[in-house]
Amino acid sequence: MSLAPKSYMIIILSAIAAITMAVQNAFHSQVILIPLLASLIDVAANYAKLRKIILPSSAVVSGLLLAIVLEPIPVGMQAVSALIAVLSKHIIKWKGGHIFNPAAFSMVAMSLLGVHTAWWGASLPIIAIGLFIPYYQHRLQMTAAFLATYFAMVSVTSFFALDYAAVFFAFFMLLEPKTSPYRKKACIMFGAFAAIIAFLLNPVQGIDKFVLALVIMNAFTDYLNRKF
Amino acid sequence: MRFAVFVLAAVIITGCVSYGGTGTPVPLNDGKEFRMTIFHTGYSPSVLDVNKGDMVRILAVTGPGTAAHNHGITIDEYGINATVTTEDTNNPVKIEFIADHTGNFTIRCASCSQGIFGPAHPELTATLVVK
Repeated sequence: MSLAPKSYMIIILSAIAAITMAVQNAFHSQVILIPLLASLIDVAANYAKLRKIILPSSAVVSGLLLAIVLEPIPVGMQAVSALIAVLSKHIIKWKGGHIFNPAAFSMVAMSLLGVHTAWWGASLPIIAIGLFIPYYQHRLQMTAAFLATYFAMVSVTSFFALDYAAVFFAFFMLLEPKTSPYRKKACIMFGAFAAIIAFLLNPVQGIDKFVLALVIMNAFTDYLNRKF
Repeated sequence: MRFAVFVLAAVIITGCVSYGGTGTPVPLNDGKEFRMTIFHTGYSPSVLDVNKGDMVRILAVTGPGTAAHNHGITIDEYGINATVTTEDTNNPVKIEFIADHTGNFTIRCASCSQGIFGPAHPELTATLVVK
C-alpha cells in the first residue's frame, strides 16, 4: 500500500507521542486536541475560501509537531497555538504559497505569549524511525547538512553529544516541503545556515533557537531556489 | 481576510493577557522568597532583586515536560549548584542562602549539560542582583 508522505508523518509522529507518553507514564491532552483543533480550523478556512472540504492532513502534522514540541499547556492555549499555525498558513503568503512552517511560526508566536518549547517527545525512538522521513521526501541532503554543521559547531565549543531536539528538528520540521527549498544545492544551504543560526541563537533567552532559525530560513526559501 | 487577521490579533492579545506572567517575590521576615521555574529556554523570573544581608529562598521547579533536561541553578560566587528535576510545584527544590556580598551575579544551568540534550542545551541565564 502506498501512502502519501504526510500520512507517514502522521503515523510516525503519533507513534512517537504514544511511545514517549507510555515511557514517561504521562498523558498530554494536547496530542489529541491540538491536531483536532488545527484540522477543524483548516477545514473551516478552506471552506470559507473555496467552498469545498479539503482533507486537513497538513494541519494534523502541524498540530502533532506543536503537541510534541511545546510544553504541556492548558486547553485554551492549545487552541491558540492551533489557530496561529493554521491562520499563518492562510494569511502570510508569497507567490501563492505560504512562507513559514506553520508549526514553527506558531511556536515562535507562542513563546511571545509565555509558552515554552519542551521537546518532550524528542527522545530515543525517533532516531530509529525518523530517518525514514527525509529519505522518503528526498531531502536527506538538507537533514545531513543541518546535523553535520550543527554538531560540528557544538563539538568545537564542547565535547560531542547527541542532542535529541536537534535530531527531531532535522527529521521532522526542517524539511517541510512547501516552505523549504526543492533544489539540491539550495537544500544544503538551507540546512547548513539553519544550523549556524541555531548555534548563534543558543544564548538567546525565552525563545527556541531551532524554531526561530527555521522561521528565519523560511523567509529565504524563494531566494535560495532562485539562486541555486 | 480582514476577519482572519482580526481573529489572529484578538487571539494573540487574549493569550498575552490570560497566560504566563512571573511570580513576584514573597517577603520574609529576614529576606525574600522566589518561586522559580526553569524552562527549556530560560528562567522565570529571570532577575532576582534582593538587599545585602537578606536571606534568599528559591523554590525551584523545572517546566512542564522538561524533567529529562536535568535543569538546575548554579551561582558560582555563592557556591550554589543544585539540580532541579521536579515538576511538582508542591514539592519544589529549596535553595537558601544569605546574600552577603553585593553585585550582579549570573545564575546559570551547569547541570543542563548532563541532561538529554547534553552540552547543546540552550544556555540558560538569570541574574541575582544584590544591592
